[in-house]
Amino acid sequence: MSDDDLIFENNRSQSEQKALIDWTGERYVPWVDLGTPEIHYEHLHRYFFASQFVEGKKVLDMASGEGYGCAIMAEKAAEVTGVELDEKAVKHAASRYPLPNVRFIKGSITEVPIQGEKVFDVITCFEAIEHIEEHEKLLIEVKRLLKDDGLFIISSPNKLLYSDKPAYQNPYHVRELYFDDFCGLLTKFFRYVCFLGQKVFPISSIWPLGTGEGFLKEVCVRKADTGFIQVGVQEKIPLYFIAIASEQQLPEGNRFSTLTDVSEELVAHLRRIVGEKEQLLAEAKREFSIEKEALSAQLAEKEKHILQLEENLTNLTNQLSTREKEFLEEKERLEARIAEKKQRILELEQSLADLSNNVSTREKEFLEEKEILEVQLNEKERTIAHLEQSLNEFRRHLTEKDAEVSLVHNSLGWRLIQKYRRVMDRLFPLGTSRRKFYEMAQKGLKIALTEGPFMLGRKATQKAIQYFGSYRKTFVVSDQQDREISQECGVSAINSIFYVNSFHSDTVSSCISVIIPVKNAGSELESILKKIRFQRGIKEVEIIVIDSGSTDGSLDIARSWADTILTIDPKEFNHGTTRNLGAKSARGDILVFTVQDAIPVGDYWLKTLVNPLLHLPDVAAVSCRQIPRSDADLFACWSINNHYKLLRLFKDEIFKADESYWKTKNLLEKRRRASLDNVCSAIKRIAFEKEPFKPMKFAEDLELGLRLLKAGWGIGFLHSVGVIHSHNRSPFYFLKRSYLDKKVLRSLFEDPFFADTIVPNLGSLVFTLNCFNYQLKAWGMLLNNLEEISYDYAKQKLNEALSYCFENNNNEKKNGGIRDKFLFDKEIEKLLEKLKCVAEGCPENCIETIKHDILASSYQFMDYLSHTQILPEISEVVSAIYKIFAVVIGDWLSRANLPEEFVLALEEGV
Amino acid sequence: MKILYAVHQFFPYYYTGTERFVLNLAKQMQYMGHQVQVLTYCITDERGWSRLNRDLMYRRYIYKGVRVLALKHAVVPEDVSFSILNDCMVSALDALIREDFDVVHIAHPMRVGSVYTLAKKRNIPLILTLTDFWLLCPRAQLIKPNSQLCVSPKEGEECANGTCYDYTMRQRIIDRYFASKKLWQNVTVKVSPSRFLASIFQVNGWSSQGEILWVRHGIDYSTVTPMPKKKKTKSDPVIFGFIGTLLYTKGVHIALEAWQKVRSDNAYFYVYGPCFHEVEYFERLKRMANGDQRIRFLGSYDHKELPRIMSELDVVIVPSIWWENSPLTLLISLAYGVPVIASNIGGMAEFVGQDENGWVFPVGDTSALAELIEKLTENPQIIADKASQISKPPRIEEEAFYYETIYSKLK
Repeated sequence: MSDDDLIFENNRSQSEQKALIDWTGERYVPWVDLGTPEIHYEHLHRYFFASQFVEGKKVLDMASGEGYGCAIMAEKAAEVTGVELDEKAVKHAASRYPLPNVRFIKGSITEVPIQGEKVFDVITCFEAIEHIEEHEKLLIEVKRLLKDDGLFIISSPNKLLYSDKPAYQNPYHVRELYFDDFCGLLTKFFRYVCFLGQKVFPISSIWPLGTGEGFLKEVCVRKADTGFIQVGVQEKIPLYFIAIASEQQLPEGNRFSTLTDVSEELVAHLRRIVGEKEQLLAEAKREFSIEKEALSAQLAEKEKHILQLEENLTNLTNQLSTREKEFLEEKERLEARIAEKKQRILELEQSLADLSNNVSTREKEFLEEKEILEVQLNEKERTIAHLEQSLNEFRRHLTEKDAEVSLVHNSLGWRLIQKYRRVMDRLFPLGTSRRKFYEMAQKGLKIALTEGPFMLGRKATQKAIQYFGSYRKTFVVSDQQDREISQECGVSAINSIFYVNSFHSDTVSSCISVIIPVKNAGSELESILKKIRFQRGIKEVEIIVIDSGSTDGSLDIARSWADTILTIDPKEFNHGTTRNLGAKSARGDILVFTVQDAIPVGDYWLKTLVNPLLHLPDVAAVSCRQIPRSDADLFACWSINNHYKLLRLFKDEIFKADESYWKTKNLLEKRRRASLDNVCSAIKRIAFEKEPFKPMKFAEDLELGLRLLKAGWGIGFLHSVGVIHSHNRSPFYFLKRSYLDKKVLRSLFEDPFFADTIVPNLGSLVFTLNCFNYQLKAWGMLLNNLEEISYDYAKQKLNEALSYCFENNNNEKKNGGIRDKFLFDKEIEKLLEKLKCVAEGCPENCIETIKHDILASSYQFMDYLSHTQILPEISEVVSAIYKIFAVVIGDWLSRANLPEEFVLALEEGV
Repeated sequence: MKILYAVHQFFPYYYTGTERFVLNLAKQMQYMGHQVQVLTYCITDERGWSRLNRDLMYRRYIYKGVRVLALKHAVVPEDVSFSILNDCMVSALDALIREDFDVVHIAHPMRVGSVYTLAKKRNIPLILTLTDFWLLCPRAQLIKPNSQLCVSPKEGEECANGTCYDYTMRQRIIDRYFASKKLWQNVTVKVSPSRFLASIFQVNGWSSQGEILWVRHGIDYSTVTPMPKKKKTKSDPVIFGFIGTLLYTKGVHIALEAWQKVRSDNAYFYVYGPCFHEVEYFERLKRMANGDQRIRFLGSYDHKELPRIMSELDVVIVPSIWWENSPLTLLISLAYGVPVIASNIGGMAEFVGQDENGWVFPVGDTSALAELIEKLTENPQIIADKASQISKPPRIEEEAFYYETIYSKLK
């Protein structure tokens, strides 16, 4: 490696210089703004300090780095050489400080690439020794290059203060020195050593004004654009003046004085202030950014708005121009039309003139014609006069004849004939068959007299054929009519998959037995039996009535319409056994079970009901849909609709039970598929003989349904066949019915939630019940305006009303005073009161659950109102809610193990 | 299902058979879980109308739990009961009827016929129940002012030959005829309460055999509460009755003329009903009955009185000289178990049947009627026998059940 390679001398001007090295955190570069000027002070001060010893000398700067040190010393020295290990730094220094008396060499400070011995007057080595391991080798190299009277100026960080105290480890430093090590190293190589300290302190400085230099070698610097530059002492401007004055010569001595705060409180104070300011600044910045964001959002919106407005403006402008165009076109068109109209007016005026000419011509013609007609009229008048004359003649003739007739009437013969006719009328009155025979005989006699007895015989035979023939014909026609009706009345369109094809087939030839248990059925029984008796499309209908002690004449009615009447003791009545009894005496292949108040819909009810049984061999039984009577109350309508809604029975369906059916825990689904309904059901005799009803007081139909499913039969529900059947009954009736219904259902379907629970004390509900009366009436008023309010709102208000009743039932005494005089159903109140005596306690959450159940059902009821948009009378709605209450209580009682007397009371009359 | 019923007039101001049919059907549909609304027209000057636009006003109200939307013109046009469509009503209906109905059921298209364009626009199936001949005959009854019965308007030519309408009306009537036929063709299902009514539309070539379904009108039996009848002895008088409005076409004069020929003193004729606007006719009837102790004019009656009235009558006479379609009086009488004497034409003959529910006499034949009255008076047992074998008209629930089936097929 030759010297030329190592020396970088550059003659380019400084302004063109470009930094070739960066601030790494270790090597000092004077142009970098580090926030704090401390590091500048330290580095610059060392070189300015050294400058006082280099005037006219040959200097070596070891580890010259960025090169600024060499440049400072070159001001006074004759020649400065910088040696630096980093090539980039050497290139940088050479290009940045292209001074004639400076050169930079690439090389190590322990092996400086300069030949010879005792070359330099001064050698500087600042903050370099801690970067190398071989300190002694450095000193040996210094010794080699330094002249005998030369100066070696070196600096090194104090390890104690630099690293130990702050527990700081500078990663670039290889070996730092304590003072003792530093002292030992230098005294080993040099005879005279003077040790100095350096640290940046906040100080108070006192110095002599205007008297030039004193004892102290003071260096002043100022921050310029390019970094710190050295300036004269005169730039130092005092904040305070101090004077030493005397009549005598002022004493010699040091005019300089510095006060040094070793605790550096000023710095700390400034740092604190800076910290606070920074915090404030950060906060301000944050606020600013938020504000900025908001403003920019606003701005964006405004801009959007502006864009929209601009767009609108464009649109409007477009529209305006279109409109203007249209307007102009329209104007043109109108002007054209006006011109046209004007033309037309002229034409019309012309034709008017023509017409008036015409009219006058016609008038003339008319007058002429009138004359002709008048002549004709005179002619006719003459003819009439002639005819009148003839008429008078006829009248005269008639009078003469009348006179002759009255002569005859008065004669004896005529009177005898009249007498004979009256006798005959009495013997053979008009309209009777006697008369017919009389007339026939008369005719016969006439024929015999005029045409002979043979002719009489022939005509009589013809008549007979005609008579019987026509009878047969009538019969056939009525049969045809029968079918026509079925088509025309839409029955054929009505019916479902099961019998659409079979409908037109012939009359059902097998006998159908209809079995009806009866007890005091009332006035409707006759029309129902008659309707069943005259069902169309069935060859033979057998009606079997089983009476259990009717006292209202039902038995007499049954006698005139039923084929078989069985009577049983009312005490022996139960739904299962009674029907089995009827079935036993039935002749039919299909047994139809119905009730005394179910009215069949239509004349083909029976045929459409039994049709699936005739055509589907694996179906054992079907039942049909119930529809509410036209006088049904709201509760009755809702409960029928809700029943089908819950069981999802909306169409004709056949149900069978597979394995999953027996496993399912879904009780509704179980019930849905087994829903045989004895209000109107039809069962095949062969199935029924194997599986008759069980002697049950209730739900014997459902029980049979389950058994039939188990036996592998299918069960049908016919939505398309109906009976009219509904009850308007008291809340207590529904309580009892719900009690029985739930009790039987639970046992039938093995409800897992069913367990005999304690007899609940529902006595507190008596008050709730009374409270209902007032609250529900008030709520009902709201329904008056259902048109304006929503059903949801009505529901919410109902919830509030019911909650009020329940929440206050514990404060019976407190609120006892506002009891309503009207009790909605005394029977229920009595029952609840009686229950108090036998109650075993009130299960937890019992009342809360009852309230919940009532609300749930009431909501379903409100949904029905909402769905049908019925706007009912308030009293009907309130009554329905009462009945819902009764049903829920019945449900609750069914869970309890009630004493015998209660069970009997609850099962009576359902 | 959501059902819209359209009828030319409705309760509470109008309460003839058609209105009752709509109310009963609508209520029963609600009972069976469906949503209903009635669209109607009202000419009264009641308050509470809201102005919809320049031409039309509307009012929403509730009658017996059923929602009603009534329309009315600001100035009622002279042809409101004549035209099939009304232009300004078409758009009004679209604005006022917001619900999405599954079925539109027209019970009478007069004044509300425009609803068919709404149904067409929204693709809703349309069902029409025939109640009279209005679609064929602007006078609705197919009877000419000279009492002559008409069978066919002959595409309007017959109407404008001077008997019913003047020749100047010819074009309007022909236009009306074809507008009407267009409405008819847009109806999905046509229903008639009597086979006779359907046959008239068949004769006129509007429908083929079996196209019109036959669903008889049902009676609301919850209002039919017969009182027990007094057991008659032979000497008790036989009581005949007429129930209904005293109009010329109802043929009350035929009955009275026949009565003049009845000799028996043991028969009475009770005439129930108001005369409405036909005051002159009423005067004529009174003159005809003048001095006859057996005839009593008992004036208008309330529906609630029917059980009592029916319990005292032995036979009801329906002597109408027009076809009648499904006469409510006749059906109510049968529902109460009272046999009927009726003219042998149209719906009357159909419902009385071949000697089934009473007797028929040739229309307008006063002698035949008189003879029948005499016969029954002399032998009241015939009446009792007939009464016991009457087959009662169907129930409203049954009628609703059939209609529900029809609707569900359309939905």
